[in-house]
Amino acid sequence: MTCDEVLEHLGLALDGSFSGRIREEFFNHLSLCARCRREFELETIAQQLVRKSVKHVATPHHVRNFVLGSLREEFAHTKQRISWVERFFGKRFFPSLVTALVVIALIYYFVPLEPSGSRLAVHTASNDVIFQLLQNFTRIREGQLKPKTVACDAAVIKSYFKKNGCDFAATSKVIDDCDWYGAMVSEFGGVRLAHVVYHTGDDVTYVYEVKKKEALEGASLSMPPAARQALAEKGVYTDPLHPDCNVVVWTANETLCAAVSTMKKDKLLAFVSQP
Amino acid sequence: MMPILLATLTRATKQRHKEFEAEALPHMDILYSFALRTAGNEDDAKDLLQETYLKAYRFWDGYEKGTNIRAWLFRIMKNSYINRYRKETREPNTVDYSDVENFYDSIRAESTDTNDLQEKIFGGLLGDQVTKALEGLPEDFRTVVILCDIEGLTYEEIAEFIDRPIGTVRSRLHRGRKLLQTELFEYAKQRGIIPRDEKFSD
Repeated sequence: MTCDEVLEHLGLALDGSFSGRIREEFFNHLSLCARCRREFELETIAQQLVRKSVKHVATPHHVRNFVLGSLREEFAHTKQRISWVERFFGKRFFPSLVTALVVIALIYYFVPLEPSGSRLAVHTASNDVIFQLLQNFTRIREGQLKPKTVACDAAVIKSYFKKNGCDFAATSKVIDDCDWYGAMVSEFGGVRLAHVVYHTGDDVTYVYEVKKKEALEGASLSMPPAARQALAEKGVYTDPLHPDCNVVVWTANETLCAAVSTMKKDKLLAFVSQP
Repeated sequence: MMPILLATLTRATKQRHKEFEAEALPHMDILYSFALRTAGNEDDAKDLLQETYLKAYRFWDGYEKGTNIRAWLFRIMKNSYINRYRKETREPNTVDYSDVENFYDSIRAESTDTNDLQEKIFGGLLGDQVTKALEGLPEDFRTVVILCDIEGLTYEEIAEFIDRPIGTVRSRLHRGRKLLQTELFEYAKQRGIIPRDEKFSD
């Protein structure tokens, strides 16, 4: 065993927890090496002195009682916290809370909040009149679709439609209370369509006009069943919610008009039902 | 449903108290004894013990059942002590151990056993002086000396207590005892047990 190994085993030797062979080697080395012997003996002396002079002290009664008292207080606080919760959710409060929650749940279930996403009107068929109306309106507002004729006099618009083979539009209602008009004519699946843009104040209203027969009975265009039913029953149809515009469809003589506007729905209805 | 939950909660809390008492309270003696040797007086030891138990109860859910609870409680106490007294974990000053060695060498030939040597080197020192010397040791060294020589813990258990490898325990113990010897030797000189001006032979 080397001096370093002896130093490493010093503690074990002091504690007497040595196995036979190592113990023998350890003490053999000590008998030959004065330096290691000194180290071992001095450490033994230090250990013995500490053991003799400084004893383990058992917890005095008053200290034990003090700690146990503090713990009991801590336990009591925990219980108090629980009983506070108990009171809060106790016999009176809990049923009221449950009742309130049930009422809220029922209200939520039976009174749908507006605007509701599920009630937004979605038109995807490309030959759907309302789909085309909305698509054109977006393009007009974004400046992608520009009217062929612009005028301040409704008569100019009527004459434009007449000249371009849209007599049905020329006979339909052209609203007078307007700052200026834009008009254009197009064709979809062999069906002639008339388009009018009304600028009134800050509002823009776009009216899509087609022969009633083509819209309701023809093969090129289609109408949502709800619109067909409303037109048959009341002569007017308002589309469900749109985020930024309102849609009204009505018939005038042999013409079907579909209007979309930035106006509020009641204002739009009043606008399109002008005599 | 809520009353049932509350009843369960209350039962669980009672169970928690019982568990804590059964597991943690039996180790109060070793904690107090250590607190006393670390804090140096009964009042501070009492406060340290109280703080340790209150913290242990509050963090009882964090104790992993089946692991060494003594070591867990001890670590709480150690942290509380550090926080409370803000003692710096300083490195010990380099001490001149040669005086002790020289004196030992000079008297070794006349002595037959360690008891005799002890008497010659440190004889007449009061227990208080040993205690004071022990308390004067840097914290890391004092801790292992207390745990090993006063509380009689094994190296393995001390390693678990201080969360260090056994090699560290061994070296700290060795170093701690040496520091203690030097300190005690100084006391012995001051008390005139060893002549102050004596020149020791090599």
